[in-house]
Amino acid sequence: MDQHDTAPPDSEPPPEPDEIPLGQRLFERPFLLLAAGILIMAVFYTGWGLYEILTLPPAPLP
Amino acid sequence: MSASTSQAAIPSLFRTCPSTGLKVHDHAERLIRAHAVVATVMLLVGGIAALLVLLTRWQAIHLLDAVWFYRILTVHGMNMLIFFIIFFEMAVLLFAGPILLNCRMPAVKTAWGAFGLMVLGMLLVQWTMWTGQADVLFTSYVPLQAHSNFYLGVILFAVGTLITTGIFFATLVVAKREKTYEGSVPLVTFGALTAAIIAVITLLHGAAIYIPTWFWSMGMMEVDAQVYRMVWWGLGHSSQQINVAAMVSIWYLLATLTVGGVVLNQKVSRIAFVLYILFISMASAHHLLVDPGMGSAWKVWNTSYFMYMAVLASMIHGFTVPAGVEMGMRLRGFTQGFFGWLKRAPWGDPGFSSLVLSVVVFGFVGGITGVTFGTEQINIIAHNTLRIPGHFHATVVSGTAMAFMGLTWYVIPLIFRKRIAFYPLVKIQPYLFAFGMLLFSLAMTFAGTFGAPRRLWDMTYSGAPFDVQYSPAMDIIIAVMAIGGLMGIVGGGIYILATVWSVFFGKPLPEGKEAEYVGSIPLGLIRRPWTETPATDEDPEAPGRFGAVPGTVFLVAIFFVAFVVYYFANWALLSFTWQVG
Repeated sequence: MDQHDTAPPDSEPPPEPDEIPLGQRLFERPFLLLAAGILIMAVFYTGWGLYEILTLPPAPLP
Repeated sequence: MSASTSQAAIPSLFRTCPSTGLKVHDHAERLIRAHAVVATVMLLVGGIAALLVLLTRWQAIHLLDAVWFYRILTVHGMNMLIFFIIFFEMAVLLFAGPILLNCRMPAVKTAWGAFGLMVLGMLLVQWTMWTGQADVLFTSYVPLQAHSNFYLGVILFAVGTLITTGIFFATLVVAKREKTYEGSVPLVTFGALTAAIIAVITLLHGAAIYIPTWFWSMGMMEVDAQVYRMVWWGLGHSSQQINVAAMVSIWYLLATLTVGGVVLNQKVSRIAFVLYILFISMASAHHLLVDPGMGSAWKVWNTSYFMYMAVLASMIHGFTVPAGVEMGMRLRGFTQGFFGWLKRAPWGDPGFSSLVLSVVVFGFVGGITGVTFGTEQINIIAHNTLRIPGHFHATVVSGTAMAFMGLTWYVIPLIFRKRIAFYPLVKIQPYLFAFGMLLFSLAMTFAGTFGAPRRLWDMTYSGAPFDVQYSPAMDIIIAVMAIGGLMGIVGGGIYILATVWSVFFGKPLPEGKEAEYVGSIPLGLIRRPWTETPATDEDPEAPGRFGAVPGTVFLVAIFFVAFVVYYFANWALLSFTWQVG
C-alpha cells in the first residue's frame, strides 16, 4: 500500500531533517497549504468579484 | 509504516486487515460504513429522480408536468451533487486519514455528532424539496425563494461536513505526533488532504452565502442576486472540485490495488495536487462568463486560473495514473509491444475497469469540454444549453461516481468483510454504466450544439408566442441521449442492488480466506499485486524510443489531438454564429 517509490532502502540511515528539500517541507505542512488555498481564492475570486459588483455604476434610467 | 506504542496499549480498538496489512481503527471503520450506506441511499434517491427527469426531457414521453419536473430536478441535483458525493467523500477522508496512516481516530464522539448533523440537514432539505417548498433547483438562485428550512438544512449539512473535515486535519496531527508513519504521508492521503482543503474553501463560501440567504428567506435582510451567484458558485463549483481531488486519489489507490500500479514520481504527483489546492476553486467563474456584472479581467483571470494551472494538474494526473498502471504491469513481466500490458490487464476486475473508464471518459469528454467551455468567447455559444450538463455528467458521473463505484467493490470485502453479491453482474456494471453515460453525455453535447436548452421542462416551447425550429436531427439525438441515460441508470441500479444486498444480506468473507472466493470478490484482493516483488528478465524502466511507458505516451498523444480538434472546432462554430467583418 505504501507508495513511496523514492524512499531510501532500509539499510541507509534516515535523512536528517535539514536534508529534506524545501518543497517537501512545505508540502508537509497541511495548515500552510490550507491557508494558501483559502487566501488565493479569497483574493482573486471572491474579494475581487465582490469589489467588481459593489463598484458597478448604477444603470441610468431610460 | 510502523505502528506506534500508543496503539499497542489499546489493541482491542484495532484489527489488522489480512489483505493490506493496515491497522484498522474500529470507530473509523464504523464511521466509514455509516457514511457509505447513507451515500448509497442518496444515490438511489437521486437515481430515481434521474429516471423521472430523463423521461420528461425525452419529448416523446414527457412524463412529468412542469411543477413536478422542477421539483424532481431539484431532488436530483441536491441528492447527486451534494448528498451522495459528499457522504462518500467523507468516507474517503475517514479512510485516507486514520486507516492509511495506521492511527487512532481522534474525537470519535464529535465525528458521530458531525455525521448526525449531516443526516439531520439532509433530512430537512429532503422534507422541503419533497413537500414542494423548495422548487428552486440545485442552484437556488436568488430571488427564487425556498422555505427557510431548506437553507437551514444545507447549513447544518455543511457544518457537519466541516467538522468531519476538521477531524481529518486532526488525524494528520495525531498521526504525526504519535509517529504512526515514516517520511511523508502516502500519496493517497495527500490527495485526500487536497480534497479536504478544497472542502474548507467550498464550505466557507457556502456559509458566506447560505447564512444571509437563510435570513433573507425569513424576511430579515436583502441579498443581491449577482453577489449570490458569485459567492454561491464558490460553493457550487468548488464542491465538484472536491470530487476531482477525491477521484484522483482513488485513481492512484485503485491502480495500486488492482494491478500494483506504481507512482512514477512522487514529487510531480504532489505538485499537481498542490496546483489543485491553489488554483482549481477559481474555476467557479466559468458559470459567470456571460454575467454582465463581472468584468472581462476578472473572468479571464479566474477562468484561465493562472494559465490553466489546474488543467495542467489534471493532465499530469491523466498521464501519471495510466503510466503508473503501465509501469506496474511492465514490472510484472507484461512488456510486449506498446499495449501488451493493456491486453493482459484484469478487465474482469470491476475495480480496474472502473478505473480505466473513469480516467478515459473524465479526460476525453469531461476535461476537453470543460476547458473549451471555460474560454470566455466560446462560452457564449454553450452557456445554458445541454452542452453544460453533457460536460458535467462526464466529469461528476462518468468520472467521480465511476471511480467511487470502482472503489466500492474493494470497500465491501475490505471494510464490510462481505463477499460481493451478484458478482457476474458487477463485472459488467462498469461497462454498462460508463458506456451509457458516455452516450448520454455525447448526445447532450450534440443537442446543446444544436441549441437545446438545459433545465427546461418543454424544449419545444409549446404555447410560447414565438416559434423555435431545431435541426431535424434533434429528435434522434434526444432519443440517443435517453437510451444512453437509461443504460446508465440500469448500471447505477446494478451498483445499488449489489452494494445494498452485499452489505445487509451478503455472505461474510472470512479473514485471510480471500483466495477461496474467486468469483465473488475482485481479482486484486486475491492476487494482491501490491505485495508482489515485481520480477522480469527485461529492464522495464529502460527507456525505449518512446520512453519507459510508450503505450501511455501514445494514448496521451491521441488525447492531445482530440483536445486540439474539439477546441478549434468550437472556435469555428463561434465564427459561424458571431461573424466579424
